[in-house]
Amino acid sequence: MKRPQLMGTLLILVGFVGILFLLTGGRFSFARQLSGDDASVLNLTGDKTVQFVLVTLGVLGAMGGMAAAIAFVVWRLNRDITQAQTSAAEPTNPLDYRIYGHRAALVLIGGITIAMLLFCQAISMVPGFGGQDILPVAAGEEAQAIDRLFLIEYVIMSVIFGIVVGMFLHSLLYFRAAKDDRSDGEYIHGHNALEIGWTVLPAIIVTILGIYALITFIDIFKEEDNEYVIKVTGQQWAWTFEYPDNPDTEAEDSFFSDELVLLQNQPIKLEMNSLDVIHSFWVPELRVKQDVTPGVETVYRVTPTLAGEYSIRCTEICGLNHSLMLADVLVMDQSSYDKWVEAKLAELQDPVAVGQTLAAPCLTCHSLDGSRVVGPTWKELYGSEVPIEGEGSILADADYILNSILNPNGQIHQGYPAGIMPQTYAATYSEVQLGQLLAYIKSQSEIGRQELEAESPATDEAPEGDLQVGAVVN
Amino acid sequence: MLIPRPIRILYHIGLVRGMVVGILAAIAGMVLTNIVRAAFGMDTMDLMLPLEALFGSTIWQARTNPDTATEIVTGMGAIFFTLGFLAGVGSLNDWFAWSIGRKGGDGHFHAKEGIPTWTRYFSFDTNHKVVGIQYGLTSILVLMVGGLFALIFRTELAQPGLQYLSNDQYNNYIGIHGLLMIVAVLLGVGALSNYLVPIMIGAQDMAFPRLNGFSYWIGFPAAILLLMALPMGGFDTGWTAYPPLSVRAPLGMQFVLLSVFILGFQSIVGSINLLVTIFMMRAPGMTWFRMPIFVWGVMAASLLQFTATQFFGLAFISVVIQRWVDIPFYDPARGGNVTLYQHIFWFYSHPTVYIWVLPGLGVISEILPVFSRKPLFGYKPIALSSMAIAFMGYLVWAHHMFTSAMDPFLRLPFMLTTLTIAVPTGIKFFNWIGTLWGGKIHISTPMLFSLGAFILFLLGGLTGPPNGLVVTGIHLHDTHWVVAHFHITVFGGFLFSLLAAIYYWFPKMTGKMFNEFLGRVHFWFMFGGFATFALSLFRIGILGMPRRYANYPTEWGYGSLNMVATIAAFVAGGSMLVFIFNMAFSVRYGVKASPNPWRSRGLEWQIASPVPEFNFSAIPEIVGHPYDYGLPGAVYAILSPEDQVAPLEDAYTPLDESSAVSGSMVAAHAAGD
Repeated sequence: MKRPQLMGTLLILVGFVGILFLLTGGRFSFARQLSGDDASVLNLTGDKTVQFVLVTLGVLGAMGGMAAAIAFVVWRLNRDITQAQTSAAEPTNPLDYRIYGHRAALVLIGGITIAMLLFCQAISMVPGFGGQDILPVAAGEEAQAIDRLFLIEYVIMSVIFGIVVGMFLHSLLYFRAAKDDRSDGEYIHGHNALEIGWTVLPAIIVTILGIYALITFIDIFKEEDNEYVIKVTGQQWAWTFEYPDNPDTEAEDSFFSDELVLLQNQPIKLEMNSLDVIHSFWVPELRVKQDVTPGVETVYRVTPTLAGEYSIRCTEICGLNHSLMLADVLVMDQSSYDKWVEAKLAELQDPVAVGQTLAAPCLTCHSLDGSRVVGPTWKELYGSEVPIEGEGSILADADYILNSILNPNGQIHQGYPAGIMPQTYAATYSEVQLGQLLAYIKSQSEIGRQELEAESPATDEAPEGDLQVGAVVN
Repeated sequence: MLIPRPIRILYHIGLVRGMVVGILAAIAGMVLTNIVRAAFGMDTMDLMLPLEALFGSTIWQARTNPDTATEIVTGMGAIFFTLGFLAGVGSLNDWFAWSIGRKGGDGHFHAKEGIPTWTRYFSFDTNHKVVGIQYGLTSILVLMVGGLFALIFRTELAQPGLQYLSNDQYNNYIGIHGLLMIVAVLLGVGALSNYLVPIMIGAQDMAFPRLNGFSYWIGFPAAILLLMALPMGGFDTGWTAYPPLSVRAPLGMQFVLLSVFILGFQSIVGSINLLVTIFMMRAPGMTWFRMPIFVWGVMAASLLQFTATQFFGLAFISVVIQRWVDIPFYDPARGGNVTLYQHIFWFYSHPTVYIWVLPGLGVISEILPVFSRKPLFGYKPIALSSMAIAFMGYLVWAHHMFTSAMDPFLRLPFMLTTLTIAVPTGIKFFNWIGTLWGGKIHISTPMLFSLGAFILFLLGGLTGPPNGLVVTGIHLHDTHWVVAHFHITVFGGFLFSLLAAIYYWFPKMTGKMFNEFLGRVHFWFMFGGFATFALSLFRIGILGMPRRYANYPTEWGYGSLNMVATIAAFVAGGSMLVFIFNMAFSVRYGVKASPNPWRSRGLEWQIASPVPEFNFSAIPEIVGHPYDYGLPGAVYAILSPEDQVAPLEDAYTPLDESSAVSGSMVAAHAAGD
């Protein structure tokens, strides 16, 4: 074996360590899994200087460790190779190769594993690369169970990768022929016991994995007794959440929200539906993902455990603004949650405020600041003259706005192509809700605000009275 | 001759004829449909619209949902274009002649006075090697175009926020990238199997040579229709075209749907041809277990292609039907079912992965023994594992639907079937290690690419179980993890194998040697670039970056790794330019290669380079096993003395010794030109 070849192989080795670090993404979540403590191990907080020094020392130490591991491998291989060369000047006995082969393979695999672990530990402290765990924080009961499985998978993957790549590199290193060597290798065309072994062993591994996953799956998706049901509606490109009527109170107090607020440690059942195309509901911190499909009610069960603010991400391509179909999830403790519900219930008395919540999906296409998004802006819309395709212009009064919501292709605003706005709102908004939406749109223009002010003392009971009946939607 | 020579030559290039006739037919078809519609009192389409879309400024504004008239008329135009192209290129000539009782041509190539022979590569041709090279060149071309789109939107993804593209452009580019790459890979499979299978099994050509030419040329108009989708309003569904989004997508969508439907014919017809060839035309003495392992891979892939492609076409055409005549397959308000599409779609689209990968793995199995100078370890297990993968490939489709609206507990049986695929795949890996172990390994470019493919496919395989296990799969589904997983699988399983195959068989196809140094440069840049790219995506995917996002907030913190991935993608993409330069340069100026530069025992290496027009003047007789390296005196095939260019007793003609070369070149020229 010549030195340049050895160096080349070592470069490959370093490359693989890098690859493995990327694959495992820095630190394993071992420590967190085992200790159950969120602020454990490398989660450095406090003084910035101390932090900087610690990170630097850690990186340097780990790099040194890795260099030592690689140096050790080089040394062992060099020694083995020299021995093999000196002891076998004649065409070598294949058995010799095997003796040295096994030993070097062990060294290689060991070296790779040590280097990988050290490197991962070091890199996990560099911001932007491993400042976080391999997985986002686990904010639910399901997430913890799923992370256990991730951990098992990672260990199995790494071990198999180490073994296969170790044998692979070893073969390339030891059985590399010299350039002018025109002889053939040994005539070995198979080995039945080995074949059976490496058929049965993976089969056993995947069966065990499968059974474990099966048990976990059944466990985490089982129905709970005290589930709190929230209705989720997806549409291009927004989420709406409808909180149910509280059976303990007299009043109709179901309400809408454009952010999902969950109570800590309360099992939740989301009943999900879509108005138009397929969307997918995913909160990385809760790990679970479920498509939201038109025509079918899909169910999403979760028990959030960690208070905090997370984001819902739509993960099924749903047209133009797919990447903007985000919403917030807030997991709260009891007192904050109660305060939030109270505020929401108070809002019910004000049509403009309810309208604002209802309008959240609209605002992905209609701006409030006069800018052009997909559809016309709502700023100063009410009461203005709107240019209509082929019909001159029209006054944007209540009739025009309601007609534009229910039958979007009827009167086309000049410069905004037809057929983009969903044509399903007639089926999904109740009359009361349309009134609330209208009130909100009115509140966006000067003329509308004056009208609203004029209306409010006179028609005190009208909107609220209807609201109580109409809030149960479709 | 009165007609000037350049025009005569142009007329004899089938591609030119096909395009002219195709465009005329498209116009005729659209006018005809308009007339028929007008006659029945239906509304018609403004025929200036396609021109406006192609040459006007309306390219990205054509967002409106098209009216039915426009849909149907342009759709008929697309179908007429395909038929006109096929007629114009000459692929239907013989069949047409037979159908009216005339005697068609003999199916062989005949050089015409004054027409250069290179035109046959751009015309309808029945020789399997010409068809194979046509497939290959088109594959590389489509690969480069698809890759270009990838680099464009990868640049957009490098930083949070939108910089260069709009949401709409981004959605279009990811969709067209996916479809173009699928087309490129299928064409690549066609290239390898068409060129190699007949030679490897000792046949003179494919079983149905005319069908072979036809199956290539039907892909060409399909590729054009696919590219037409962008100026025609685009499509914002990604390559999967899930309804209801695809039902309401712009006009470009239906070009995609029709294009893929037409492309399905290429797969089905091509695979029938390959299956019949493999079953019926093996040389005497070539039993199933004496076939080269690559042929096993092609056979397994062809079985899948022959039986599953119909479902893909069915899924796509049902969306077209809903768009055209409003049968509500996928409209839940009128009794349709959205999830149905996904079942039909993935019933093909999962096996299609194995259609790409099985021939690729066959190439690895073919190259490793040659460069290890050792028999292929576990020939039978490897061959049978290909069949097992093909069979199991049918039973796992719903793992693409783990988060869909199907019954949640239906996920479990599909999880278990998915996991079992790890077993036959593992068998291949361990046997490859067995092949390397104890060999005399020579590392040159084809071997490097095979080893690279080994590592990448291993990473692709190991990242499979986390997707397959429902519990972790629902976290990873539709994230960049999945993007990385299938890219690394297809790169390892197919693209690196295709490149290995091109380097390996290049001397056989052209009689010239490529530049070894440039080959190695290509490998290291491609491997390093791609591995970094894929592994960065694994990382951001598992952290929570969803797939097909044009935009992501800075707070998510995926910026730095996305930047790494983009730079790496440019490195990998740029290395393909080195490859193309190397190949183009070497075809013209390369050193003459000996007939068997790799000292292979394969049948194709015993005959002259480039391979004569009909491969073998007499059908060879197979008397041994193809991979008996290291067994003194082992004979694989007995060829007729005039075919046997590489000497039988010493197949190891050194690269620089050109004693046998001159003879082979004479033979090749005599037969080929």
